[in-house]
Amino acid sequence: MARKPADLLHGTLDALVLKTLSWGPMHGYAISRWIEDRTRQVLTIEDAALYKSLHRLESQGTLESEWGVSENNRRAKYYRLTARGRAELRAETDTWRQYAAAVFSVLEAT
Amino acid sequence: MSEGSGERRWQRLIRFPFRGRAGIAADVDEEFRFHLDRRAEELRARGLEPLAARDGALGRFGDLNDARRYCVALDARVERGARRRTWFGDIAYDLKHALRQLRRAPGVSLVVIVTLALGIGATTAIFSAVRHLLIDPIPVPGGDRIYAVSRVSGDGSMFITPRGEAVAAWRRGATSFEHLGTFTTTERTLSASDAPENLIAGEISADVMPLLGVRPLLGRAFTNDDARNGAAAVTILGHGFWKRRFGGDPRIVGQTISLDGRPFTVIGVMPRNFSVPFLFGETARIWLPLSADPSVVGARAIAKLRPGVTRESAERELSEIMRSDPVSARSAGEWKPIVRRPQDYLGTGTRDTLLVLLGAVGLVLLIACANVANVLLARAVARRREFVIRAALGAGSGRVVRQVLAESALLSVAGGVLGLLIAWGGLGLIVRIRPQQLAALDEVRMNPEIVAFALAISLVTGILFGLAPAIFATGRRLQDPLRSSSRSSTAGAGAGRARRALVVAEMSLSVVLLVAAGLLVRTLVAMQQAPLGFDPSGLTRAWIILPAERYTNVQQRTEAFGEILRRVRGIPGVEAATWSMGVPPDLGITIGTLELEGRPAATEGNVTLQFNAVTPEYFGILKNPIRAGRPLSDRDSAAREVMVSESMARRQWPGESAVGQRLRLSSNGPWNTVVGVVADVTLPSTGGAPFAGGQVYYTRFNAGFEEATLVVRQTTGAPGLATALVRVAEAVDPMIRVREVNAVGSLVQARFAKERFNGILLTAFAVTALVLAGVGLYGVVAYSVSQRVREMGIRLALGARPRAVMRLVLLGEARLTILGVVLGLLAATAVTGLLRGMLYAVEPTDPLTFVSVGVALLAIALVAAWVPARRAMHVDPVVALRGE
Repeated sequence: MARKPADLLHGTLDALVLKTLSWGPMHGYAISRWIEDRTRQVLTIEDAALYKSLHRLESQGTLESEWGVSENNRRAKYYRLTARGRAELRAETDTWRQYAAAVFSVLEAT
Repeated sequence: MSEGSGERRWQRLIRFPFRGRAGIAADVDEEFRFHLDRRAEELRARGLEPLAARDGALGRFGDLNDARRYCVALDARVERGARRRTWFGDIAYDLKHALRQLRRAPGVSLVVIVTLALGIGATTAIFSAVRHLLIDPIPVPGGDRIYAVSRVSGDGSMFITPRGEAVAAWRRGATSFEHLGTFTTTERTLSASDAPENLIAGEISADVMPLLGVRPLLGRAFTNDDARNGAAAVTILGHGFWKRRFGGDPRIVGQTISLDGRPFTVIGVMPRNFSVPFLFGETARIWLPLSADPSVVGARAIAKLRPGVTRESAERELSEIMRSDPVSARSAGEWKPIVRRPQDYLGTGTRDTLLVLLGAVGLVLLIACANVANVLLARAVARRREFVIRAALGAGSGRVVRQVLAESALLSVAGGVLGLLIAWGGLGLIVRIRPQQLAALDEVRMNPEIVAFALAISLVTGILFGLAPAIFATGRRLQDPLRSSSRSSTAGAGAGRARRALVVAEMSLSVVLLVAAGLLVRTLVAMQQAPLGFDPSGLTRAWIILPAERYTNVQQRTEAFGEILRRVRGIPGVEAATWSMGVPPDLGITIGTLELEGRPAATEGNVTLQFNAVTPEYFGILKNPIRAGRPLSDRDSAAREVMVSESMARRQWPGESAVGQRLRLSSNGPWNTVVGVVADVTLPSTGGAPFAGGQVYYTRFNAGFEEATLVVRQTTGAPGLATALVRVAEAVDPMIRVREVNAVGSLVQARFAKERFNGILLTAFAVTALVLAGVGLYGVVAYSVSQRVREMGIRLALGARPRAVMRLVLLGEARLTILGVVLGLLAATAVTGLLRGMLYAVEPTDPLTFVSVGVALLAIALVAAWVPARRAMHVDPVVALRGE
């Protein structure tokens, strides 16, 4: 069952964006598609929220942006991880792993 | 240069301009549009109609407007931060670059820093001192409301302490004051078997300590009861005295010390540096309670006004109370109460002196500024190519100016900090050499405002005089130096003219200062050499006081004085000793009508004469030569003999001998016969007419009073005479007091302290100015030689003799110097009139001073120019002509 985007835990979207960008610079649309494809459309992200997240992360210095040319020859804004962003992603991933393990250990308790 | 810094600089040069808010919004819109278009394409690819695809894309997006607002606001904030970071980054870069530039030219940097430091140090020190003396309030809480209360004569010329009755009436009735206290000083002898010592005791009423907001460090303060008749004698020790005599032992409280043979219980110790304002350098070692009783005579009054009460309204209230008080009213007509600040006690002469010093130090600062401008102008001209290359590489003109600004700021701060050190040391020096009139200087401290003042001056001067040349050098025809060879002598011709003008200005200001210093030094020398009429070296005076209650008749007093004199003559090293009423420079003054026998009664009214009552040996001991007649004889008072000074004899009996004439100083008094004429005793003084009344000497008959001055001439300058005198007095009677033991020579020298102070300070300023001007001249000549190396090379190659080349350089320089000296001497004649009140036996336009200053300056200028001129002489034509 697809969860509604609004139900995404706070900070989850940021973590997903950082993870996505760890594969390389992308523009917003590509990020959106990439997340949908990876989660097999389980997580559908509202575009407005995605862009807010991108700009927020950029203001925090975890991302930086640059205007480039897209696959179909249009000007597009590309985001890429900064060194700080990479460190942030590592920390987020650890947190998520612990969180998930904790939830699983409860759900699968016999 | 490292790879890293090169890269950073490159980044800076290609930096994108910052976006405005509209640009940010446009970027966000473009980003979103791209997204929506791609999403619509995707949906169309899945088979939707174009319109439906667009609606679908919008639907998927969510709240477009909210996201847009959010992103624009966020981006704008980021942009501002980046802009700020870049700005600070640039500043850091500028400073780093500036430091490198300054290190590359250490000589120039050093000259600028030292020049600024000297100018600022001197100015700050003098400014601190003058501000402290003329402006600062008393340094205690509410000090701006603390005043002395005294009485002023009807014509405003004389001030005296208020009468005890008036003070008592004011205490009862006045509402203008928070506190009204009284204080005075007396001299006491600390009786101690090992080392008796004379001390100044500050006597203060119980109000004084609360008035000053001071509590004792140990023990308690005085109360009104402490000063009552019959109360136990108590004292509070001064901090320094307590440390020195009792090793800072806190158990001293409760013990007794013996003053003038009486026991006093120590009830406390004052905090460090405690003093009462208006004591003006009298350093009280111990403190005693002063009675508030109206019968106390001669006590000074100190008051703290209530907040908001003006001096005028306080004075009005005091007058009214005095008029309504029956006892005070009698004198109310002639003497008006007046409240005065410490500053009011400085005479106008002292104030003028301070302003002259401030003016002089201002000239030093001006010269320093001119020097800084001079050096930096030369540097700016030399660096035109650098600036131009920078501009060509894309640095905006603002950027270049900022560069220069950073360098100036660094120089200024360094100069300012060094200047503060100089000011701090200078202030210490000023305090050490201060004359008695400026005793208040002892409390002067460098405070944060002064530090701020110094740094502000240094920044303003440094930046102003650093920036102006930079703008001057870069502003016009920036590309010229790239086109032409930078060494061509036409480049910076305007700057050269400006620099020569600056040097001329420096020279002439130095001349003014040198002339002023010269006049003051001549004054001091003249005062030192002025004939005093007696020989003070080896003379000591002491004031001996017999306790009145024990020596009630002439017989007793004669015996005591005789015994003391006999024992003093027995002290090793004492050549001769005698009694007199006073001794120069402290002679009594009498104001009265002078009548000469056989002449009509004087019509000129009262005359002022110095008078002294002396023994026959007095003149021999003082080495005060007798010009005519004979010394006073030691016969009884019926002889009525007097001696007069030479100038008085000449004035009163012109053309005839004074010896044998008779005079009296009050009508109806007995006539006195002049038996001899002695040389004038004069003390040179500046400001105001010298005392011209002359001296009259009476025979001193022992024991008229219970006080007398002991005059001692020693063969050897044996130390310890003061202690020996106290011991002698104690041996005769422990209650006899010995006061004011002083070498007469040092008393005379103290009279010149003001002139010495002025002379030392002005000489220091003048020498500083001279050094600065010399450096400035050296800089100009050295620079012009370096600019003309090619020309010199050509001349030498064409056969000019090296000496001729050197002469060429020196001649060019001589024009500047002569112009500077002439202008300076003209300016000096205009301003030295201001010094008139500070001079003795020297005219403000003293030709000797003017000529020697001119010659000295020419000589110094020659030396300053000689060094670079020699370099010009030794230019190697081959090297010079090889060009760049």
